[in-house]
Amino acid sequence: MPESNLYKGSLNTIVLKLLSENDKMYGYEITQKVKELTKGKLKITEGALYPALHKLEAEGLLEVEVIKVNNRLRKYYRLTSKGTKETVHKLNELEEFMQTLQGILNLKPNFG
Amino acid sequence: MEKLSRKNIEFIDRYLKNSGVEFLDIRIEMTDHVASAIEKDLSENVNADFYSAFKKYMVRNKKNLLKNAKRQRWSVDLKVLKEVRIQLFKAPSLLLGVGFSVILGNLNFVQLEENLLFQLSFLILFLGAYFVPIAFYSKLKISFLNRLSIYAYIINYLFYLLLKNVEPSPGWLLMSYSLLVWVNCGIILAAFKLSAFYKKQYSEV
Repeated sequence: MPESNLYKGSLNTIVLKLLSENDKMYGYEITQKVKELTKGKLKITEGALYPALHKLEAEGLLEVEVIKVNNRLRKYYRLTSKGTKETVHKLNELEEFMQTLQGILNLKPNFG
Repeated sequence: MEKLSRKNIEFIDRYLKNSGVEFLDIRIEMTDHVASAIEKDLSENVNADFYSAFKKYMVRNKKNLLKNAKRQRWSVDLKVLKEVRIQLFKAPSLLLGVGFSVILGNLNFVQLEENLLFQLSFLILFLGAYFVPIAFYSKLKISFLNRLSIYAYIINYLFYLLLKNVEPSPGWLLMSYSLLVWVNCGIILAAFKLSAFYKKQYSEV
């Protein structure tokens, strides 16, 4: 990931959001989806992603399914009901944070 | 998309194992990640072969991959402790812990505690809590079982130190032994549960 704590602090939210929009995803798929959506600006490394996924799993927000695919086992992650609720909470929290910052910094972001 | 052969997958798995990624559950996920990245590279570069794509990937990413393996310890510990906590409140652990306390509370526990046979039976329980996860781990190198055996060792060793250096009253002594029976039962049950769960998950390995 780019050397910015802004991104590091939102990795869990990014993962939860992606999984809320997809039935299930595996680790590599998540990294590629983030790269695609950010047009290559944000690249999540294995060193950042997998510890985050396992921590979310340990907290009961994600559940795992292991399936054999292309001569190997693949671990898919999906949101639990607790994870779905937490996703909404995290997104609201982030939105509130951005609105608060906007009040202070008066940035003009281009979301086009 | 280009699919890697079983031989290619085994090559990646062996490489990661030789690089120190001992735990099967972590290595399986890493192998899939590396394989997926190589498959993408091969589908984009038609003239590339597996070994050159693998080498290219590792030159860029090996450091991060191995850092990932080390950083997972915290989430593994959290899962282990959660599972032990669940097992502590299951019937077998509660019955044994409380049962032990009730039965021995009606006997002369201080005298019993000095009995060699009693001490030996407790030693067997402690060793059971430590070696059951290890026995499972020897067959299925899952990170949780390794961490579980470490916690079993720490808990029992602390108890041993306590008994060696402190002389509690009979009531506290009985409570300490009951607590230890309870905790060790929880650990042994957690080892069985985790082993069965992961054996089922990784049955195709």
